[in-house]
Amino acid sequence: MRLQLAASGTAATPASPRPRRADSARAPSALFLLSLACWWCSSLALAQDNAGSWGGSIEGRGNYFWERSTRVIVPEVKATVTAPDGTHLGAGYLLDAISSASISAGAGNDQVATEYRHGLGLDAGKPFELGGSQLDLGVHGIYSTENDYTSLAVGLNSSLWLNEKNTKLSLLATGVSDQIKSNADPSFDGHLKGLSAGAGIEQVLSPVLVLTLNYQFGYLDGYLGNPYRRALSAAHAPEREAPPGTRYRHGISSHLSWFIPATDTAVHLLYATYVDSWDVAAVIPEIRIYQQLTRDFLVRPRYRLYAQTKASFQRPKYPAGWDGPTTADPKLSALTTHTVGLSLEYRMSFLAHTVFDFAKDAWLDVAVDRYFSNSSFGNAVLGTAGGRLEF
Amino acid sequence: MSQALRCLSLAALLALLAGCQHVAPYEREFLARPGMDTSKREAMRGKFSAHVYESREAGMATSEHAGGGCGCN
Repeated sequence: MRLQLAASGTAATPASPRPRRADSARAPSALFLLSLACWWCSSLALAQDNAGSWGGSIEGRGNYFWERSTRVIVPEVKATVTAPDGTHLGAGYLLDAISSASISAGAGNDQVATEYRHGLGLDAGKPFELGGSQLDLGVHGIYSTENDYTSLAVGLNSSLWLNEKNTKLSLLATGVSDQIKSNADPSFDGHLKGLSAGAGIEQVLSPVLVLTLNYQFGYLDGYLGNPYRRALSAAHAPEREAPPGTRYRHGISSHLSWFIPATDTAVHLLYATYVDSWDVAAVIPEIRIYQQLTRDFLVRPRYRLYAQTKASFQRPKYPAGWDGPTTADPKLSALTTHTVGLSLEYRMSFLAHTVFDFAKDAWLDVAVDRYFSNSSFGNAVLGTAGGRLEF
Repeated sequence: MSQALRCLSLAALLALLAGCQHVAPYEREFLARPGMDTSKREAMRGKFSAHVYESREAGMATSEHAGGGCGCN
């Protein structure tokens, strides 16, 4: 969590005490894991009667984030197994290694503090044939822990394919429970509950055109600030920020994919917008172009624009007598960002008919994005490289 | 400006939906090309980008992510 503090240039964070464990988060996560295991075992038993073959995928990736005073390295891996009847189980793990300059070190004695976040994700699903339609039902969960933040998200998702898979209807609901600590103040104990629900439709419009529309509602209730940030006041010394205790958001997004056969080009146009109860509204247009240079080699340039208004209670410095909510969060100010990126993808079809024939459909990719922001966070570079193998 | 853009977008989407045709499975060659069928390949790296955006922009964490990391709450 310290990453944001260092980047925003607010108050100092002393050395971390012994990390705490969030005991309250263990029970639901264990229950969730147990439920997944039971469901998976029963599905496997049913699958024995079905003809077909096992399949799955494995993906490994290294991500990198570079900013003026922050570096983040994120190695991650995910594996999915699919039974002959279509039942699938996925598990993933990631490590966030966040290094940031510690302001408390002072000028001339700069120190780099490194924090680690561990994330474990599980998902499972099963398809059901309904006449000419197919219904996919699934569950997903993510457990994330670092020395001052523990989070558990559990949800349900479903997709209904209609009309010879020309139309897909999707529903999604996820609950989140977070526990927030402060290494600077052991007495601080914050909690955050959240609910996210969404609905979407994907429609094949023609042999070269697909349109997706989504709506998402999000609700958060609890401590929505950062215990390390201090809001400036004209009347007294900086105090821990105290934003409103609830926040809800309505968002819509669209995605149009268009293939141009003459040039082997796929153009993806994305547009999203949202408005929330803090008076933050944003528009997010994006374009991605996938150009197939050979049968197995793709290049993908992209551009994304993000523009938002500020939160109604956001002030650079709060006047004397202010008794409303406060924040020192740079991302709640009015801001505009631009992302320009390039990705290269290569399919390893040259492995066909060798001892590595199983990997002939594996994809390797590398991507670099340059992120420009007029907020006090400044500009950044995102990099990622990885590979995905389906078997 | 923003309102006009939204109305224009909505009108364009409705026009597209109105003009859609039924596409049989054997007509999906182009839809299966790597440049069109990107959902699986983009999923993991897209989550990383989304996590970065959530820590640097005011969008709330979505259902695909647990909180934490980068002070994203």
